[in-house]
Amino acid sequence: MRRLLAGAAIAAVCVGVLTVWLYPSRADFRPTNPYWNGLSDAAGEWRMTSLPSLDLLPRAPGGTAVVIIPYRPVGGADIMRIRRYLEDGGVVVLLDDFGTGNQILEGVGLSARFAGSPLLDPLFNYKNQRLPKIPYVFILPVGSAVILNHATALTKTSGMTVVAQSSRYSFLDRNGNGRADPSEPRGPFAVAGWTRVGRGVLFAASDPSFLINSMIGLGDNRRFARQVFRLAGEHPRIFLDEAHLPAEMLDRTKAVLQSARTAIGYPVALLTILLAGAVAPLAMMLRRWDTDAGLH
Amino acid sequence: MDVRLRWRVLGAAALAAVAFVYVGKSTLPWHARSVQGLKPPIPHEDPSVVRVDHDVATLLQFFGDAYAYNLAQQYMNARSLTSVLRHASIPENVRGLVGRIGAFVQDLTVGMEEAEDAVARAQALLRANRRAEATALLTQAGQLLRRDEILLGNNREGLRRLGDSLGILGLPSTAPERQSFARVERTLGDLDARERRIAGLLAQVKKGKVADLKLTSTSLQWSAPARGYPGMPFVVSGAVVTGGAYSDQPRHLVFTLDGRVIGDLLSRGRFRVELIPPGDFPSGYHALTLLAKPEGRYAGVSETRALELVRFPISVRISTAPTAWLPGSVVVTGDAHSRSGALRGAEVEAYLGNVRGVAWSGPGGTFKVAITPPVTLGLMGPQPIKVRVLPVEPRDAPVEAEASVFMVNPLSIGLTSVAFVPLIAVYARGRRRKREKEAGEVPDVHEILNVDAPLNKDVPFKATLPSVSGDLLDLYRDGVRRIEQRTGVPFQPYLTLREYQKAVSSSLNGHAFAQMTALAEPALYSRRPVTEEMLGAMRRFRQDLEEGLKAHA
Repeated sequence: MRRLLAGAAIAAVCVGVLTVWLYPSRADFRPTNPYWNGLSDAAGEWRMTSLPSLDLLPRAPGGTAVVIIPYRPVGGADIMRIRRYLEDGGVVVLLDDFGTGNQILEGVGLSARFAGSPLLDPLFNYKNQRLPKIPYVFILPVGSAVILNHATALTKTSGMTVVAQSSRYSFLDRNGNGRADPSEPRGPFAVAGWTRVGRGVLFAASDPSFLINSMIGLGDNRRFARQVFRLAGEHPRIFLDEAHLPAEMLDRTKAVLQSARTAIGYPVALLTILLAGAVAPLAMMLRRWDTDAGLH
Repeated sequence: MDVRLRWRVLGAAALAAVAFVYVGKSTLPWHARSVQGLKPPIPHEDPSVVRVDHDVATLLQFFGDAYAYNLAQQYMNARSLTSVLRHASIPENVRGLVGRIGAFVQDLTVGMEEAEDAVARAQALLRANRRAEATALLTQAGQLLRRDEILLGNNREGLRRLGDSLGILGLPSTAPERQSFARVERTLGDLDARERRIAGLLAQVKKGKVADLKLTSTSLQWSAPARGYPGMPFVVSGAVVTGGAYSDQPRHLVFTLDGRVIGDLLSRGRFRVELIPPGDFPSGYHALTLLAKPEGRYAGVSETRALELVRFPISVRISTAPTAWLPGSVVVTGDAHSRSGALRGAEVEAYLGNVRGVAWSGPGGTFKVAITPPVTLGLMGPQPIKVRVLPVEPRDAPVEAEASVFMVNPLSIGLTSVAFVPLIAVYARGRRRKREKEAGEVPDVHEILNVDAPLNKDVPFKATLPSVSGDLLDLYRDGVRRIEQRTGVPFQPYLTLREYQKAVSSSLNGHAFAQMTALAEPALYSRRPVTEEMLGAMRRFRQDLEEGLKAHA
C-alpha cells in the first residue's frame, strides 16, 4: 500500500512538472505565449533568446540587441548592467508605455521620458482611437504606417533621433475621458527614437504592444521591427529580457523549472545525479541479497 | 511517534515551508501591497475584437485644416497632410467619397500654388515695366484662377455629399460634427473669397487701374485672460497688424467662444473690448477665437486661445431634525455663502427620494425647505436628503450637500408587524409540535424513572423491592422472547439491551419496546429504586408490544 502511494505521488509530481513545462504561457509579452498577447511570433521570427536575468547579457555585445519591456521595477544593479552593455556596444530596444521604462532612461542619463498618459488618435487609427496609427515613420518608405495598441508618447526627445511621429490629431488623454480637452497636449508626438549611449544604441518606443502576436502583422509593424533590430547589424542576435516582464504564477513556476534544468546542466550536479542513479539500484540489490541470505 | 515517520513529517513541513515562501513571495496580498511601481493591468487589447469607432468631427477638421493651409499659402503642409489621408479611419460607406475629396484638395493645392506663382511672376514683370509679358502671365493666372474656382466648387459639392451621407446636416447646431462641418464651410468660403479678390485685382491690373498685385497679410497682436467667469466681463485688447504696421484700414473683428459669437467691433489698429462669457457655458476650457475678416487687399486671419471658465465655489451648511414622523414634513434649514458673501435669491432644492421641496435663500443666505413625503411603505429608517443650491449669478457654481434623517413610518411598522405574525405563528406551532413529539416518545418513562429522586445508598444493588424489580424484568424478558419468536432475531449474549432494541426496531413497531428497554435498563443497572409506577408502565408497554406484534402479523 505504501509503495502504491509513493508511486502515485511520484507520478503526480511528474505529471505536474510536465504540465507546467508544456502548458503555454498566457502572460503578456511572454515568448512562450502563442495567444494574442504573447511574443511567440516575434520570438520565433527573430530567434530571440530569453534572459531570465540581465546578468546573462553577453560581455562582448557587438552584433546583439536586447529587448526590454519593463513592467517591473528595474533595480540599480540592472541599470548598471544595461549601462555597461550599452557602453560596450550593445543595442537596447526599450519598449514601454505605462511601465517602469523611465527608470532605465534616467539610469542611463537620457532626458527623454515616457509620457505615461494614453496617446489617442481619433482620426489616424486602427478601428478606434486607442489603437493609433503612426503615419510618419522615417525609417520606412513614405506611406508606411505603424499601428500601436494603448500607447503613450515620448517626451523631451531633444537628444534623440525621432524615427516615428504620431499625427497632429493625436493627443495625450491626461484625464482619461477619451476626449481632446483644450488643456491636453496635442500632437504630433514622438513615439520612437534612438540615441547613442557609449558605443551602443538605445532605441525607445512608447508602446511594446506593436510586437505582440495580434499586432505584428498589422500595418507595417513587422517591417518596423525588422528595421529596429537592424540597429544591431544585418544578422543580429536578439535577447529578450524576461526578468522585468509581467509574470503570472505559471511563468514563475516555469522559471523555477528552467533554473532547475540549467542547474542540472552543471557538471557537478550532473555527476551527483548520475552517481545517485547508479548507487541506488546497487544498494537495493545488496539489501535484497542480505534479506535472501537471512531467510536461508 | 515512530522515528522514521517523524522525519517524514518534518521533511514534508520543510518542503511546504519552502513552497509557501516561494509561492507567497509574489502572490500573497501583503506582498502585493508592499511592491511599489507594479501596475497590474497591462494596457493593450486584442485588436481582432475591439470595437470600431470613427470620429467624423475630426475627419471634417482634417479637411478644414487642409483648406486652412491653402488659405495661409502653406502648400507644402497641405500636401503633407493630404498625403496621409489613406491612413485615416473612415466609415466604410464614405470611404470612396472621402478619397475623392482628398484628391480634390490635392488638385486645389496644386492649382492655387500655380496661380500664385503666375501672379508673383506677373508682379515681378510689372515692377520691371515689362507689361506685355506680364499681361500674358496675367491671362494664364486668370485661367488658373478659373480652374481653382471649379476645384473649389468640386470640394464644396464633395463636402456637402459627405455631410449628407454621414447625416451631419440633420444634427443640432451644437453637435461637434455639425460645428466641424460649419468650420470647414467657413474656411472654404474664405478661400473662395481670397480667390475672387485675386481675380478682381487681376482684372483691375489688366485694365490698368491698379499697378500692384500684392496681397497684404494680416496678423493679430492681442491678449486675453487665461481664466474667465461666466456672466462676468473680461477685457481683450490688442492690435491688427497689416504689412508690418498697425492697420489704418477699418477691420471687422469677431470674437467667438466655442464658435458662438460673443462680441464684434470695427477696429482701426488698436482695440480694447469687454466680453462676457455666456452664463450657460459649462466650467472648463473653451476656445476663444478672434477673427479679423478680409478687407480689400488685406487678408483675413483668425487666432484661437484657450479660456478656462471657472465658477466661484459655494459653501453650504444644512441641518435637519434627526427623526421625522410620517405623515408629516421634513424641514431642512441652512445657509449658503459664496466668495462675494451671502448667497441671496438662490434656488434651493431638497430631495427626499423622489420628493422635492423648493425654497429661495433670503438676504443672509439662509433658507428653509419643507419636504412633504407621501406615506409610502419604503420610506422608513435612515433616508438621505439631497440639497442642491442653484445660485442666481452664473459665476457661482451650483453646489450639492447631503444630510440624513431617520424616518419613522407607522404604516410600515404596522404592516411589517402583520407580516411577521404568520411567521411567529408557524414558529410557535413548530415548537409546540416538537415538544409534543418529544413528550410522546419518552416523557412518561422519564417521569416514572424519577431521576431526581435521591439515591438509596444503604440498600445493596438491585435489592430494593426485589419483587417489583423482578416482575418488571420478567415482563421485559417475556417481551424479548415474543420478539425473538416473531422476528427470528435472537438476543445474543454480547448485545446490550439498547443494541438489541436497535437490531429489532426495523422489524416491528419499536415504540413500545423502546419504552420497555428504557424501563428495564435502570432496573438492571441503576441504584434508583424501581417503583410500582414503573412496573405498571412496563405492563402497559408489554401490552402495547403484544398488540403491535399481532397487528404486524
